[in-house]
Amino acid sequence: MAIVFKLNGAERAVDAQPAERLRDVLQREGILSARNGCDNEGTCGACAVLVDGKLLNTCLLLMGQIAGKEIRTVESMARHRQLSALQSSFLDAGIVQCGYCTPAMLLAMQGLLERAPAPTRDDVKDALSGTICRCTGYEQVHGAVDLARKRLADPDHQTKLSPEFREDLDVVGKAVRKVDGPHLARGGAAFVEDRVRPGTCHLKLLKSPHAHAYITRIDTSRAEALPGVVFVLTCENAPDVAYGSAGQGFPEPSPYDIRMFGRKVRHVGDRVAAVVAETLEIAEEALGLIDVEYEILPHVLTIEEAAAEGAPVVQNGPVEYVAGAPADLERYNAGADPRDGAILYQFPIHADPRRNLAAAVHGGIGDVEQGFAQADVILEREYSGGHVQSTPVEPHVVYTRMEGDRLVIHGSTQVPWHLRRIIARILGVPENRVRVIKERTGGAFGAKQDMVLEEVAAYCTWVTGRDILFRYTREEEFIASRTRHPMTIKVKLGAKRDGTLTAVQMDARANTGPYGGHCLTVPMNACSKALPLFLCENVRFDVKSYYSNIAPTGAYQGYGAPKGSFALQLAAAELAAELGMDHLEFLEKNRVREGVVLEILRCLGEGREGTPQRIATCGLGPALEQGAAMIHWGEVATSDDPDVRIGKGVAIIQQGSGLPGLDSANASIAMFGDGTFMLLSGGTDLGTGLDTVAVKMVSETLRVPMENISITAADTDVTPFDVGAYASSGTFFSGGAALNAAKEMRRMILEVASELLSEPTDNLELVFPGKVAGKGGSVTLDRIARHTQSGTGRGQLIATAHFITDKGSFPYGAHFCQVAVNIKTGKVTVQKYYALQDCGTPINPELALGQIYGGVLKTIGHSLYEEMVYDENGRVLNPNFADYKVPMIGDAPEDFRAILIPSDDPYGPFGGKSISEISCNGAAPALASAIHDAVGVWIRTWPFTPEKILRALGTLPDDGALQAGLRSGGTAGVKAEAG
Amino acid sequence: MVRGFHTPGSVDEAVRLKRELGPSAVFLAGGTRVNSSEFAFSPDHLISLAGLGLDSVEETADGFVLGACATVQQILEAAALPWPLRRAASQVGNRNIRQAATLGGHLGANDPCADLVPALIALDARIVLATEHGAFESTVADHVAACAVLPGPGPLAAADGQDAATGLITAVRIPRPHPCRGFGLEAFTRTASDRSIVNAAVSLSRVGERLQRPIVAIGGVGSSVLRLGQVEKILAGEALPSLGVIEDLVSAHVSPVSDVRGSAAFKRHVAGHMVARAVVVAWQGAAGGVNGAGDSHEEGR
Repeated sequence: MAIVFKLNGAERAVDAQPAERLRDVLQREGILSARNGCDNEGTCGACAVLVDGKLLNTCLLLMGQIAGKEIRTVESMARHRQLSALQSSFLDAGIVQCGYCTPAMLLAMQGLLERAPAPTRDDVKDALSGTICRCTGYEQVHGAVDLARKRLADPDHQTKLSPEFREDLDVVGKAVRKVDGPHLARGGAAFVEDRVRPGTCHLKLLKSPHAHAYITRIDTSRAEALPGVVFVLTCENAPDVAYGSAGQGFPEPSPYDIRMFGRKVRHVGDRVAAVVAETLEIAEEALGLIDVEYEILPHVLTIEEAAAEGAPVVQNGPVEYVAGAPADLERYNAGADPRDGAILYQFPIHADPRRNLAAAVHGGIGDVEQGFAQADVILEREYSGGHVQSTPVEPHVVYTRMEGDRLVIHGSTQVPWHLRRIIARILGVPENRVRVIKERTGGAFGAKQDMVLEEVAAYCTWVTGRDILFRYTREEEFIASRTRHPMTIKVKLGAKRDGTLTAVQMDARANTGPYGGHCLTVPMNACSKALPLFLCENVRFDVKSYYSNIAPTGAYQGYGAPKGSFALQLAAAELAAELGMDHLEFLEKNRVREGVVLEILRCLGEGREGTPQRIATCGLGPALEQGAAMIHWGEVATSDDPDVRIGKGVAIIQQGSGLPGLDSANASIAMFGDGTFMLLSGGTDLGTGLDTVAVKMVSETLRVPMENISITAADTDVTPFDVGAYASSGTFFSGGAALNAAKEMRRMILEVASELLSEPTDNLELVFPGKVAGKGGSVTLDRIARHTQSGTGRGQLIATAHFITDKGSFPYGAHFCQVAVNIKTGKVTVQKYYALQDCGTPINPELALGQIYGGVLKTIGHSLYEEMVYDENGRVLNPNFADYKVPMIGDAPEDFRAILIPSDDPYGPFGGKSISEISCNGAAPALASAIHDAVGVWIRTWPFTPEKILRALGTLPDDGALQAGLRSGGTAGVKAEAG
Repeated sequence: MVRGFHTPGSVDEAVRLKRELGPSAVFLAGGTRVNSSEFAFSPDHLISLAGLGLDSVEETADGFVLGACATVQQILEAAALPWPLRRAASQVGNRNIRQAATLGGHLGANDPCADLVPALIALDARIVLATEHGAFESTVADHVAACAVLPGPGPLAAADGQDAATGLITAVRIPRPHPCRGFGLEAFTRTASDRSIVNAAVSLSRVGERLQRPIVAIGGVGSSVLRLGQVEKILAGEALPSLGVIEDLVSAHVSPVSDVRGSAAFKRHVAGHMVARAVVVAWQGAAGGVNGAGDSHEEGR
């Protein structure tokens, strides 16, 4: 029936059923900007539009409810391509990162400004209270709204909202609207789902209801007979190829222990079958027609259970090695069960899958026993962190199609080239038959460093020739994508009375879940990004990773570092307290500083020997000094509420900038006929502003305006190779490649100019905007382009370069916070959070700040609220936003500040170091030490729930266990200690 | 799978449609519950209440009449309404939800920790129901208690203003609180947009240094919001007990269950604290304690 309403100013009669959701109808009508982030739970707000001026979630509205109403979507905001005041202010404030929830945020603020032209900070929080954004931490939206107000009065108004760096440079270190920003702010087609053509099939998964079982029989005949079903894929007809889902450099330090569809299911939500059908509804109906019989096996959920003698074996297949097979392999494989499928190691990672040991490594420097013998005080503590999920608002999604006889994959991925390599291998075709196009990603955060669903859609398209859209639901995102490894870390510290560390030992135990992606490198990273913060001659680490039947784990912004940092930094706080020493003084005494050589890094490579690094730049000194002054360190703060205690905390943090010796990035630049440029970058922009970084490298080097440089990135057919965006490599590696390509282009340009001007290249320099000047004359790039591309020229100028390095550049930071702890309810409120970070030269300062705010708020969430909770059968009890609890704007610290501490790094492009991941390392230890400062208890397991705090305070009995029947993947119980 | 979307033009027609269509039909108001994937019941028919003109918030000579389709945001913004109800409205979800969710739907959904309900109970509010046999009123406390034990697919099936057993919620009447009556309102959530884990509202009067006619309502510790009659009896006529005494008293009178949102022990502890705080705030807000005027007025009603 025709339902009449007003859409963006025009009367529309839309053919729809009254019980259809408005969001679905809007998308059908070409309004793509109402995004689906929660699958109709009504909790994420990504689909919200203005209905009669009020922001409402369109997943909760039926067409029958909107007849006669006025609907406005983000498409109504720009006048043609001209951005509105609010849209341009969002870009200038750096509040547009991935852009997936940007339309909803813009509309929330549009509605606000219409009803309250001079909104307060609380008004902004109220107006945005229903929108989840995982990228930005929300803070910069306050500045954006303020700027928009001023622009509404004066369209030319400019206010600088972020600091500027490097006066000697034009665009590097300056806030410039990100190159993909205007399109995202307009709500334009940019994401995987926006590429889908009519007639595309849908893919749905049948998932295991059991945590651990063999499939003994599977009958798909009834499903296949259902009209509209195109293809059904199970262990009976899927390729029997072992692979790993981790998008890491080849050869990977992760085992190949996954099959597309195996005989064994290893977690609740594991793949049993896939159905490809003409519609989503048919695919869902067909899932119910697949008959499966299981042989249910006992399961293990925790590290303790997995490591126990005689525990059920999660990966019991025969073991194979590409290199380094042990001599007794045949004997080891004698008891293997072929139904489990083989496990293939590229090289030994000291695994023993029969005992659920997925990987192990240990190492160190000096002699810790001697170090502990020298100590006046020894502290031994155990810290654990639960199971968290990055919840990108755009879930995992892929669109696959054939183009001729080649497979095209439109992905929301961090690793286009790894994806192509792995999928080509599974399909048994050469890589040239596969093209991966990275679309804009609606949040990735590490979860999209793994191939979570792409290979299933790719294979089904390869077999059927059909276009296929495969999109995870929010529940699937929780139970069957990738999560941060639960970990338990023992720390032993020895120190002299004066606070000098004499020995440091870290034993990390990780729960890798059913598959071994990142099983070695995540817990190793917990040590490698924590230990080098302290200067100590005697250091030892020991890492073990265990298989279990929890939801799969993988990469998540920060990798293992947030958990390692929590353990070591909190242990340092405890040691300082034990020594009767000020925490800050202890950090200052033992911290890393510029010029030192970190010998420990020799044994902390990723599955191979590492390289000791000399620390070229370290902003920790000024970060600690400035942060202490900001938070009034040492001054006691009190509350008017007799139930509330206030405390302050601090932590120091670091990360890396990509993986020296492992990572590689490439870029090429082509000069167009008028002297403008196309930059082809392999870099994978996840909403971080990496494309903008790359363009700035070229603009700065070639002295041309950014508008004269276009960029195409992360398309395996078009752009050169890049390992992808992970391990904080973007600015350093992909930005470095763009810079090197620009330098090569500069060399070529000067060579041509030298011919044209008859001057030696030494006399020549590039001059803004787009000119080469010599001593005698000058020539424009336009003329150089026409010359080179003429019938007598040397050909189009195309420069290609790559970036590799054996040098490590380490971003550093100090995070300070002030919390209020209610001793009656145990609730922790973050009153102040100051994140001071040295990322070298901040290339995009406004986006660098946004990444800090976003990383901090995510980890405040992990520290205080978020945790996947399991029942005894391994089922996740809270696979939704309402019960998992992602922080929203109302949870952000009232006084929230990110401060950039610049340093000029000699290795990074224009002195840049990484920014994103490090931001995740400070919140847990800083908050935990602030809680101790407030109420005198150390909470050593996160999240720091009110219940744990009350138990630690003795207000509730410490029954040693969480609620009956509830489990967490990291640890069997709640451990906290008053002291 | 929804087969019918009905748009009655009058309350009588809506009630008649519901009778004709039976239990597979659900009244639809804002839709924040019925249209959500969290709604456990899959109705065949939706009966929209949008055309019934039930969305007004009116002040009358002796109080307020709130239409069932008034949104939670409307209640929050209605400056004349008693503060406990407006503050309770501010605790509901987030702005996107508050602008769609309705009073009737909120009552019909009857969540165990529905944020408006404790405040309405403390305000002596009454629900107006349209039934086949005419209009009918009951207290909010009686209504939620009755709905919580209804058979069928659970309280959610009665969401968005529909109540299978007793009719359609059309309005809520709130008597104008006596100026001397004191109120306290507390809610415990983990995050800003969280559903309340435990919430409580208290109203009371003071005669001299004695508590008079206390109302204690608490959510999150039973299958619906509960009025703690035993606790009220113990408090009535007494001097203001210490916080600890009230906490222990309340904790002893509630039996929450453990779930993913908190253990029973934790909820019992927080319940005591929420009520104790609410009692103290209500006591401080109750005027006329010295001459007892407030109380005699209250009791005379």
